[in-house]
Amino acid sequence: MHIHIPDGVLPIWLWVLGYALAALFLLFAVIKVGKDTRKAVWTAAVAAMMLVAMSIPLGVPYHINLTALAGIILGPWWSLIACFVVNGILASFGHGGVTIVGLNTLVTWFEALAGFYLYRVFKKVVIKDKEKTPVAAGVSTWIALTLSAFLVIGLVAASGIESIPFHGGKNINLNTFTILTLTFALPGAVVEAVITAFILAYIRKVRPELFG
Amino acid sequence: MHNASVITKFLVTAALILLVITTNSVLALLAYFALILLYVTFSKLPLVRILRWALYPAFFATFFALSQIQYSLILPVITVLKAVDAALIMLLFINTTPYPQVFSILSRVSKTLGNIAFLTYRFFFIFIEQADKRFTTLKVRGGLAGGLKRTIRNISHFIGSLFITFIDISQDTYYAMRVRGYNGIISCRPGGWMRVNIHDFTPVSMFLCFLIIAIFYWLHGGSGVFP
Repeated sequence: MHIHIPDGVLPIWLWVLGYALAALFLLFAVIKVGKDTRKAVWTAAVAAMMLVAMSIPLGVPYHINLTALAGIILGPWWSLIACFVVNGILASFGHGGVTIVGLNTLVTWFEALAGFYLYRVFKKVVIKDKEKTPVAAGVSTWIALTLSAFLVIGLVAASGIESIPFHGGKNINLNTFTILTLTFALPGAVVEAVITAFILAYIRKVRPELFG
Repeated sequence: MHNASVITKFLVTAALILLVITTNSVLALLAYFALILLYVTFSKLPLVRILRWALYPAFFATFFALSQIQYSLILPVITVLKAVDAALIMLLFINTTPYPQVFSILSRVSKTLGNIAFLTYRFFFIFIEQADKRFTTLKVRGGLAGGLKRTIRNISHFIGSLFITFIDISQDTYYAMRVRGYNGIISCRPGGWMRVNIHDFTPVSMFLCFLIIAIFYWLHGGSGVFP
């Protein structure tokens, strides 16, 4: 998941830090990936897929991300670029605040990274049967999305936003925010994990050469 | 607004968003909202469609606003208004600026980032069209009926088949681009759209209107004139 907090709610130091860290990692990623034109086009295609998935309204404040799948397909550095581009374009459509593009890039990249490394571990160590790699992808996605939900809650908690006085009261009730986030994020993670596993199973059946 | 230079529009957009996020008054945010709608209309953009797009961030902002409702009834309204105002400002910028110009700004920072952003944007609309066609086929053939398990399986196969179509499209695009001399650089030549011109008065006037409201709010915010 990514942060659906509007502009002007999170403290400036937090979103500026988000931008600074994202810029630093992006700089490293751009140097690391070099000039692989084929992979650049492929990354754009995966980013567009993520955009399509994130733009499908489900009627609840949750949407499919496909970030873990993007991590599995693209690897750590290309997936960071895809996450940044996706969050930037989404923000330009008003989906997610402009100020939190940096933080959202880091959160979604965390999902992609977790998805990528967990998938590798599950595929090589836990599930060695090649036929069951979609299960590894599903489990990796579920863990990655669950962890990122807690990361979002952690970020909001770390911002100290709960103690900012406003109109004689407090800015936000962290408990309510946590309950609301988990209510949508945890079942959402299960659904996305199942969908990711099915997608990989389908691709393995139709075009097995794509993922080996 | 369409003919103003992209640099002015970009800077004004950043300044307007900054003003929106530092304002904590319902009245001031409503005044911003009215002003943006005025400029959207003035720029001959489809008002209803723009408002419909702005509903999406409003919907997601309510998710966060709900966690504020215990402390204040005004605060959730401010949260939603900030989200809508910021989204409308971005939509005004994006809809009055050709996207190669938008991404050319990013290309100045990094060619790789600019290229991928440009291609992503291109692919997005191609993919949306494909997804729409295939989803209609899925629905017509009863793919969304027959229980949750079957629906999830069908939707996954739908996304999987889309995925393969997208791979094919991106590969075809890559080969077509290579044939036309693509070597990792999509250039967008700086033209008149980069230069400050007389049309820049429109975004600048918008910024000045926002600034007047903001100054009025800063001066009278504590006295109850701008609750």
